Amino acid sequence: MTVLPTLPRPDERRGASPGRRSRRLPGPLGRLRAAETVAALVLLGVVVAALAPGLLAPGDPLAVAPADAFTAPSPAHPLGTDESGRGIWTRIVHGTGASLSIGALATLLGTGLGVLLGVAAGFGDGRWPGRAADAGVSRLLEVLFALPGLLLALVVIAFTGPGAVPATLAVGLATAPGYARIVRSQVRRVRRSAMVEAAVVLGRRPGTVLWRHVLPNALAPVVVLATLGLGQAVVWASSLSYLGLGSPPPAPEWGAMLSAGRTYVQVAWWTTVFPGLAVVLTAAASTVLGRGLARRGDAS
Amino acid sequence: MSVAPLLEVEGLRVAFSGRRVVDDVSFTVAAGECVAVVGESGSGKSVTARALLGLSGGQVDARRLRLGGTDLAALDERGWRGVRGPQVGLVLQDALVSLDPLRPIGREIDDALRLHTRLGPAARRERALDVLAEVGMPDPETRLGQRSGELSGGLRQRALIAAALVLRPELVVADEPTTALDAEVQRVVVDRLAALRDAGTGVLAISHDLGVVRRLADRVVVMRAGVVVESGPTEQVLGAPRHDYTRMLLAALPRGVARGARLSPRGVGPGPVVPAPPAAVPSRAAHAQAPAPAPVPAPAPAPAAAPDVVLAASGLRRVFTARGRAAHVAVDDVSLELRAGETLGLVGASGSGKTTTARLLLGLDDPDAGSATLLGQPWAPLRERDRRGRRAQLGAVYQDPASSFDPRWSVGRVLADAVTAGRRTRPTGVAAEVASLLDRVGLEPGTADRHPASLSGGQRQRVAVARALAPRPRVLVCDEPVSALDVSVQAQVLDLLDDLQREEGLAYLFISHDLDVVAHMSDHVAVMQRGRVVEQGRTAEVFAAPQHPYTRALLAARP
Repeated sequence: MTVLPTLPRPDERRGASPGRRSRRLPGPLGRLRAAETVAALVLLGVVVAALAPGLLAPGDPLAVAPADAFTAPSPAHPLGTDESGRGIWTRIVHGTGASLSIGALATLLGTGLGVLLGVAAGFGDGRWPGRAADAGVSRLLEVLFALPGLLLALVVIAFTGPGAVPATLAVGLATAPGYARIVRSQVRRVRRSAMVEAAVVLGRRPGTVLWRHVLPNALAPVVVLATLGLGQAVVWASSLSYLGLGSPPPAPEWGAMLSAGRTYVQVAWWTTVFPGLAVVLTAAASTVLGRGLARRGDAS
Repeated sequence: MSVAPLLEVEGLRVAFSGRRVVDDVSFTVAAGECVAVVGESGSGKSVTARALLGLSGGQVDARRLRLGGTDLAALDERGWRGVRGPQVGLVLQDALVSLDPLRPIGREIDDALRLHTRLGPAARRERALDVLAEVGMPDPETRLGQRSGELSGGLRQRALIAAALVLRPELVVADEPTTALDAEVQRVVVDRLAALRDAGTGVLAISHDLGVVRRLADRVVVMRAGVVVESGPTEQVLGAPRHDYTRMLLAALPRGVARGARLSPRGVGPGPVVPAPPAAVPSRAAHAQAPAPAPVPAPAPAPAAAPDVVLAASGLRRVFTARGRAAHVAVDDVSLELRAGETLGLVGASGSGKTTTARLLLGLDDPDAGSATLLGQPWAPLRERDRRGRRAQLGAVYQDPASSFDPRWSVGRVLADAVTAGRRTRPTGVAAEVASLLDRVGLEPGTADRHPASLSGGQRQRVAVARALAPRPRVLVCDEPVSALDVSVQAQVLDLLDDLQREEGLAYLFISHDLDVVAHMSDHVAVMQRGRVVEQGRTAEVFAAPQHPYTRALLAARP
């Protein structure tokens, strides 16, 4: 993130929006920065892979072909094959759905839970019910914050046992405290604003105030954060699978593929590098887009 | 005294990204002279002042820009650093943000000395103490070690002046030095600047407050939209203005203008069509006898012999307790009465409990003792559930309307929402009612589609008034409704409130730190000091013959 302090010449500035400048693309994408455009394309690819994997990789991700085991990247297998002769490309593409849906659902769960807790803590007016809720939720959050996120997810898995659904649940629960903190402070900010006071003076009920003013104004930053958090959630979901706590083999899942390939990293580097790259690319792309959204949100 | 002027500005132009905001401005300041640049927001007065310190941030050029023997136009950034401080001192408007909250004021003052002198620590401390004493800082020894947060607004402003003066600059530029200060503190600051001028320093004061300018300045430069429209000796410019804009600014001042007389010229912006009452008529009674001005379909005001009490408070008390601190009695035994069609003005220094009183009366906060009634029925303390149904009877207008609107909503949605407040079913014809509200506050019908953020300060305050009127209230609580506005816009909003009161028989609780505004707007006035009402009575009587020493001090401090 570089801030350019130099002022461009006046003729250059005319017509351009003030503030930071960077390379822009021509045409309708001109409003996006180059990096954001690349990120958007990557995510588009990821979404296509998740919804219609057959379009990008027509093969069967589970079809075993022992004769082709450990083929290096070649025209037939662009990213090589694994120990059972299954194409890495095919498996990555078909695994996108699992990795992404765990990440997305976990983020949804985390933000949803975070909003519930944050509103409960932040919406009170300092008198009895609100105050007790705030104290209760805040102490709970502090306890949860004492544990690192991934560890918290492991604790949840310890109760539920491994699997895709428990992994989703675990990652969702582990991310919720962060969202809850932010929602709480946003809700408190809006709750104390003159706009809410004006609504109260007009005789609006607390529920109406919450629904019409507090939630819409408090949640805009959370949407941005969720985009940032999506990448994180995908990484965590893959981490759990890597540890054997997520999707069970032989289902194609990025973390599980990483885990399976690690034994052969000396002889077949492609079995680990490409699934790893898929995780990194997806996480990076959603982070870049999230930051772009955040910046735009600050500007408006 | 015109030997060679200290500061010579000729043909000054400042542009930002090719847009010129200061155009061909010329004036001089002599040693021992105070020149005031006056104008409203957007007039370019602050940019002009900053250009004299090389801080404007735009493209500056001038035919002549000289200070003492220095050609300011030729300075580079390094050269400017030698000028700022030793030759020009800058006093900024908002001492709260202009002082670093983490550093003691002694350090702030010391900075200048360390950078620009070769004095040792002991000598520097001596100088700092001297300059603090000079600006009238009580107990300078202690203050040196205090941070801005530990000082009151007035002391902070004095610390800022001290920091600007410590190097004995030839010229002091003061940008709105008294804005946001209470009248008493304003007076002290003005006195300090006057003493400085009398000691031979040149003072350039930037202000929108013509009262301050009148007391301080030898000469006045009036700016509008980046251009000087009039300049000359103070008595001449303010006493016999030649330019229409200067005349309009002066006419907009509420000082000494009778209750009910207009402040803004007709035809400035769309306004409600109400015949002007003759300006010579001084009293409310005369208005009541005048024929009903306009056929407005509103509850007819009935200013009979003794109008009904619509809002009454007795013995209100509110105490704030914070852990580890002594309890703060914000409002103490306050009793007020508001009558239909009348205005009760509430004045007092900042921190005197005016806003807390307003919040108690609005039912946004509950009193620790005492009670209030609205239209004869209990109002506070009361459960919000029981109060909600009657909230439509009481409206509020705030100082900063911008933050009181949901930023996502258009003006039309804000008003439609307010129209439906306090009614069980969604009434038909909401759009028509919104249109009529906009018309009543003098806004174009097209305003409904715009967002409050895109409106000017005056238009926004009109929208705020329209919203307050939408549920057809009987009482409006106006907390500093015009203090964020320019004088001419303030005049329009005050006129609007006046017209609405006359048409609809509204009762106003009008809170302001500006005594002139309160005198112009109020039938009765209550003076608050440290949470208590120290004096209360008919406005004319209180202002003519104040009984309480605090009221007398407040009145004496008026610029």
